[in-house]
Amino acid sequence: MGVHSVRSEVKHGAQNNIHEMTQNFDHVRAGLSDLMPRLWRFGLVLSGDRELAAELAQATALRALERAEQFQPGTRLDRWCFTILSSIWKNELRARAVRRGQGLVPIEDAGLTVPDQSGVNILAREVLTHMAQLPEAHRETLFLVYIEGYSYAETAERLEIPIGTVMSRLANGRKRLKEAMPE
Amino acid sequence: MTQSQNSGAWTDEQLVAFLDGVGPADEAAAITGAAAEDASLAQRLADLSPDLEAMREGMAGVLTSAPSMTVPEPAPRSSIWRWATAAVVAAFALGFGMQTLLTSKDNTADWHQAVADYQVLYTAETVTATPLAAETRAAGLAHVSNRLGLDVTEADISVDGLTFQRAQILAHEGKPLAQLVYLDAEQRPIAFCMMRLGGETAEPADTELAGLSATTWSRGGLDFIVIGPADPTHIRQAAEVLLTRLPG
Repeated sequence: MGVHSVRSEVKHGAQNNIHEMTQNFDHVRAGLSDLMPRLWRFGLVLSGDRELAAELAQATALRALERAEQFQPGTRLDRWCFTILSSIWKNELRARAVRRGQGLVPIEDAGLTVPDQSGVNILAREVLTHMAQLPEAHRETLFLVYIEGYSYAETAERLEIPIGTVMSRLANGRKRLKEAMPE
Repeated sequence: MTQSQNSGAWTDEQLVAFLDGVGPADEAAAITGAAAEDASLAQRLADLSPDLEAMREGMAGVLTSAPSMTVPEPAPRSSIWRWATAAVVAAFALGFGMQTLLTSKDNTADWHQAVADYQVLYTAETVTATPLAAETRAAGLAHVSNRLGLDVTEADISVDGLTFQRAQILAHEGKPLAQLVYLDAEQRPIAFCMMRLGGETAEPADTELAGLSATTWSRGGLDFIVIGPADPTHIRQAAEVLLTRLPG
């Protein structure tokens, strides 16, 4: 192989990798615009605060873009972003929120828009209120499994806990919700 | 087996798996059978059964209350470009040099080639798989407009036969590169890109880059390129429309 063709291969290899990275970035960026409301909702379930939830969603989006090259094409962008959000909450924002007395306080003040005629927001507020009564770990597990459709195994992997813990959190959470939401 | 033994034969976790329909089939059959005869087991199942449908409905309602949020822009030197720089440095370390990539004397031709190499990877799916709301498109265009010091509206950049999809800022050698993406009537991705390089005025010229048709020109310190896998005359027509709207 001549020097020229080796050089050409290296150049094209590097260009292709740059292209892949750029395409990854574009993919993450495009997917994020649709994901923002769901990231916000997850942030709201964790923090109980509308503003903190928005901050969490924005911080998650920013970090996802900064780390776009780590995203594995073909895997689910929403799952990847939820893991980032959960980690930002636990490692960075929660402690600050607690110091400021923010969050995990009356979910009624979460700023949900006034109830419309369909009653959608009344129900939304009720559900959030009941969820807020649960310990955070239970709240998060229930949300991921029953709202976002994670499997038990996936939840265990993403939260880095044994699958038995996922199931016991679900059992406890279900019981407490049942008590809080009698038919 | 007595009824009380039946009820206690399963843990709450097993009952939850049963309720969620993910437990083993034989266990599900056994629980179903036992619950029919054992009131305490039936009660345990009931106690583990909040109205999940209402919960899902309520949570769907929460989404409608989400504030309007735009995706933030990372700092100009994003990890992609850090990575790109690292890749280039690594290639140098291999001793092959990469003069053609890095030391182009013709900066304009250089960015045109970069755009072409990038654009060639686009397919209709790249654009249509994640359609943007009109509001997000407009926000993208406003951002691009702001970064390049232009005053561009969607009307300015609309071209007959092309559907505007999105505007975003990329970067070339640390300078902002505006990319506007369109689909043509045959769903082919066409890009209109701009950089403010302060070069001399150049009349539109048709060319082919990375197998794509392209028309390039410069006005008022701005460099422009329209590029895509379409007939050169179509690309030229789009360029002629855009150059009257964007004097630079």
